Amino acid sequence: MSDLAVAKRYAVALFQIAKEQNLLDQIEEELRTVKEVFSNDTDLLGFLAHPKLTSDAKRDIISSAFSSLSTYVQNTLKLMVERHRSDMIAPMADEFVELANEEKSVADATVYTVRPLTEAETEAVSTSFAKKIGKKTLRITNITDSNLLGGIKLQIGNRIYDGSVSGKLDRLSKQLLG
Amino acid sequence: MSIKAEEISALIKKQIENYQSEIKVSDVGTVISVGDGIARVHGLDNAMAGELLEFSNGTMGLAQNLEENNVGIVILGPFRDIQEGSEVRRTGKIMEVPVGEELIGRVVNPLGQPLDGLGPVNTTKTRPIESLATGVMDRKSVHEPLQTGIKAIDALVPIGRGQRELIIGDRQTGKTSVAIDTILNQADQDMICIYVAIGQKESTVRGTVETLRKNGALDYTIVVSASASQPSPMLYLAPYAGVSMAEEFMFNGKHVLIVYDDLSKQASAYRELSLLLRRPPGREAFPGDVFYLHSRLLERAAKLNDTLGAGSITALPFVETQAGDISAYIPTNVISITDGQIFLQSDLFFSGVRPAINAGLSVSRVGGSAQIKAMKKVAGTLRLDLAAFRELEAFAQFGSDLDKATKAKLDRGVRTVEVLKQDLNKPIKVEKQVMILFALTKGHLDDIPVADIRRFEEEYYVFLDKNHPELLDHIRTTKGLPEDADIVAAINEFKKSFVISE
Repeated sequence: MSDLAVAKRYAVALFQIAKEQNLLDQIEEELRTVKEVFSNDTDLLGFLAHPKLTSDAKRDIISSAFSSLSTYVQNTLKLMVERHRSDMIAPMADEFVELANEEKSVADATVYTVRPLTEAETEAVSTSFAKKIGKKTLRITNITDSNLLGGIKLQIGNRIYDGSVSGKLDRLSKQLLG
Repeated sequence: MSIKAEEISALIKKQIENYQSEIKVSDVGTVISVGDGIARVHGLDNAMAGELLEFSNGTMGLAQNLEENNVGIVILGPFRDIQEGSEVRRTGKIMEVPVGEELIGRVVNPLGQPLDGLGPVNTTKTRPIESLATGVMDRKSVHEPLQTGIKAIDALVPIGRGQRELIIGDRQTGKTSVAIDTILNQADQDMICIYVAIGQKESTVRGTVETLRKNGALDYTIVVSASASQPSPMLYLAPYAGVSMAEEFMFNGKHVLIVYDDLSKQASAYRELSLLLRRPPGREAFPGDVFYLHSRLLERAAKLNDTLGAGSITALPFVETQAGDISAYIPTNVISITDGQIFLQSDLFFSGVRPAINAGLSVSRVGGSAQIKAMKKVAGTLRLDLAAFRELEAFAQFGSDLDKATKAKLDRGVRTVEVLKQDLNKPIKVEKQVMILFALTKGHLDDIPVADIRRFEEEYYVFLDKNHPELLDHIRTTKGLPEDADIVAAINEFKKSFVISE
């Protein structure tokens, strides 16, 4: 797991380029797709690590597969593949998103509710919790979970704000049992 | 009794007005890996070192290793249903144990939960198990004696209240017996005793508790037990739990005796834990902080100054050696931390010298100033006499042609060894110890055959109780020695009635 430090270094380097070139949003968006590709297609990693293929061939594959992406992202991918760090690409994307969030004062939040939130409700949750944690806005992912019974549960990073009915019942049962 | 509908409505109205949906905020992490009682958890960014954490099945854990992207946690309880991906919550609390008077007479585990089947322990207070030892200005030098009731210890290696005296020896040399006898002797000494059993068999602990109960010692004793079947974190925590319970009494001005039986097992448990947490191993595979493990524990034994209530914690840590090797890692560490050691030797034990205390290797660095005056007077030369005897004894084995002085020295030595022998669970009050040692050192036992010495001693005590209680009272109340002539008269009077066996 200490390899995470490696991912961080690549992410910081790419992040600085993105900031200098004012491409933060674009690159962030691109890295999200890259991460999706890498986590959906497990064979890709095996392919990129295969010893029988020359690094030239791998580079060609990357430039054709990710041709729609900006050159900076493409170059990063090529560099990481060449240095046998292809398994660090997904963690690198995560680190980058975290850095970008920090820069823009945004946080990712997962909201668990019984029914999908309406536009207005999402907005309300976003503004009230963003104030609480000292960020400007929240990027909200809404997940419906009927086990909650009611109320909402919000996860930001490693912190959970549990206002759900099931959570309250759990606490009540713990209290009663001692 | 009638219930008015308006009242209920008013009550509900109030509740509706003040209804607030409270939201519980908790920091969580997810388990990356779990095994051997250790879990590695991702997340938990703000976890504190030593913080209690709660797993999804209700089991508690202790945060031990805080690393860049994970936390190493030791699990305190069943870990069968903790899986990869399970949630771990922070509690925000440092580990604590219940403390207070209510624990006295109970057998508890290191978390303070009862093991004796006598129902819950209704304590109201808790103390964190790790706390800083008392500082320099809060202390006072050790000056009151802790009477162990064992002649060989009270005379040769006296222990003071607030001292830390190591009891070291091979397995089966009577280490636990020394501690039990000491606890038994505290019955009328206004002491609270805590016996911490670490890594022992449940049956042994049961036996010890029964001995204490039979002799009425459980009325002032707490037993903290982490048996061999408990997971290693429990063994590691047991002494800290014990000393936290002791501190509560000490800060209330009481005197506490705490026995750690034994610290080598605690060190092994800590080694197991550390290796599983992937801390780098050092000498004998112990982690780097194994010295600190024991020093921070034993440093919490103290004698407080008068403004803080003058309470004390006396610690009797045990260390088991392998084949008498006191230069192994843990023994040398603990010897250097404590204020002296009592060395029990197996060849002495098997040759019938029980307690098998090796007077040459045993020392007490502060206890001397805590001895009562009478004891100091009679026991002053005892150690030297014994050393001289050991030297001569080896030498005299070569020939039987000895001059008178040497013969006398040898005879005295044999009698000294005989007098220092003592039966199990029969502690002797200090005034009686003084009387027998007086008889020994002044040569009044030289004409008693060696085989009769122990019978002489027993009958002598009975005689003193019946015919000369004023001598015993004098020692007990003034702490000084009565007039020599009075004691000699008493001894001679008794000798007249004593029949030497053929």
